[in-house]
Amino acid sequence: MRTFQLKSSDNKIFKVSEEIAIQSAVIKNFLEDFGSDSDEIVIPLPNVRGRILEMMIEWMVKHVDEELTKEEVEDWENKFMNDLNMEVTTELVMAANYLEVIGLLHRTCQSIADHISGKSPEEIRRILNITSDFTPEEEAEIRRQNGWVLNPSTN
Amino acid sequence: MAAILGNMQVTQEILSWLPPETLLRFKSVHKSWYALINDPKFILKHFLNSLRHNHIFLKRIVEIDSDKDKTTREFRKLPPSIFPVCTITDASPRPIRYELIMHAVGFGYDANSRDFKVVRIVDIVGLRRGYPVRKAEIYDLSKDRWREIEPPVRYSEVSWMASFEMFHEGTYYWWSSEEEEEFIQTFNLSDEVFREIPLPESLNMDKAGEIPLQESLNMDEEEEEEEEEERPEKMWSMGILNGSIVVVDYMWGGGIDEKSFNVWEMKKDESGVSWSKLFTIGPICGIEKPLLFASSNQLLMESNKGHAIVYDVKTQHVKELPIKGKEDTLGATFFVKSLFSVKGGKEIIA
Repeated sequence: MRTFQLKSSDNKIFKVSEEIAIQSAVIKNFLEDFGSDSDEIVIPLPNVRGRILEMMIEWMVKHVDEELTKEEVEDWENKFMNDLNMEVTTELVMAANYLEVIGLLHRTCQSIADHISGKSPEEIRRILNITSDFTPEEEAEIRRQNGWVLNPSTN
Repeated sequence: MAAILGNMQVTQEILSWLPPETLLRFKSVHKSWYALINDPKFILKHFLNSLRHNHIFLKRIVEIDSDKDKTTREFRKLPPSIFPVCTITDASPRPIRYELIMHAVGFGYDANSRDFKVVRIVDIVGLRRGYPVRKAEIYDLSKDRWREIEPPVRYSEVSWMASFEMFHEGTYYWWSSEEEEEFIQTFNLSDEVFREIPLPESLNMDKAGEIPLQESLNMDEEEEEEEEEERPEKMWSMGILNGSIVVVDYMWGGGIDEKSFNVWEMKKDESGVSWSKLFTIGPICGIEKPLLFASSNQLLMESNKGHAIVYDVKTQHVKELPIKGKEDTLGATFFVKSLFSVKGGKEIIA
């Protein structure tokens, strides 16, 4: 089994086996293009800091562990997600998207979706620092179209 | 979190996990969100994600004073059937009227054509003469029209009772019978073929066993009817448990309160379909009928007072839910919330 090194943006080095790392589509492609058998390969990941990369590797290690049942992996995932705050979750989303770790991307996106689900459009704009590009009339029209969802108790 | 906004791909990924109600509300966040949430590609992606989160739809009959409690605000009528329901002038000078009787209807998503389909079996009845003719037609949501397909081989009856029909992984199932034989009628939404699944042998055998008993009751009609009401009958319902098709049998009526429910699992291999008994629930009191398996060990049932209850197969614990209907009117089915809308059928009944 080949092993090689991942280097984070803050120059931390992580040794990983090929089996674990190829859960990232980007690393998988990189290794295929880099046909060498050498253990000396260092893959620089300038968009991911060490703490986040460490968590991603923890995730990937759990997902190749054949001794764990599906339920045990699910329980572990739930605990892993519960321990994260939104800031770290966002960083993981960006890193999982960048390295194409699909399972982690889906799970972290679900977590953010759950977090913003109950918010109003105004709150969403404030959280994400967006300015509305609708005129007040346009916005009123969109709300009118979806009135039955927005105000289920009236009508 | 503001970082994710700059990346439309990530935004799309996150939004695809939100419930449809939230997405309709979020259309007014920004024009780019409005465009995304209306995009058919996003609607499909969102739907495929939503398939992992089943909701349970509980149907009940309640008496209400006004229509304040209505939860569904809008119905849309699908276009009319392709079969003629009109006055046809035949060779005879007198017009012949035809009537369409809906025999069975099914609805589901076909992953192959990426479309929703409605299938129905109808009987065309000439009111003045002749036998009913069985036909089948299918409706594609994307095309918004019906087309005729080959009807089922057998002229069977479909049960309209709760837990006697379901949709699972691209196929619709109806509990059917023809004369004394009961079976499951299926319809595959992709290849659009009706097929049959035989039931556990003991079901049709038990039924056959009842006949001599009935005949031996040498009574006049009135007394016989009374006797029929008193005698417990074998009842069945159909469901999905851990991805397999299961049927549940139990005795019902005849004043018995204590019931046992036998759960049978269907297995399919090259030699055909076989059934094996998985486990028995009970004996347990106060249950009217099973509705569906909400998870691998939770069975949703109706109590004999009309309450929805959850029975835990492992702990045998019974939990009553705060949902009640008129007695023996509860029905349950799985559903998925989606952003798809029924474009067709101009007529809206609010």
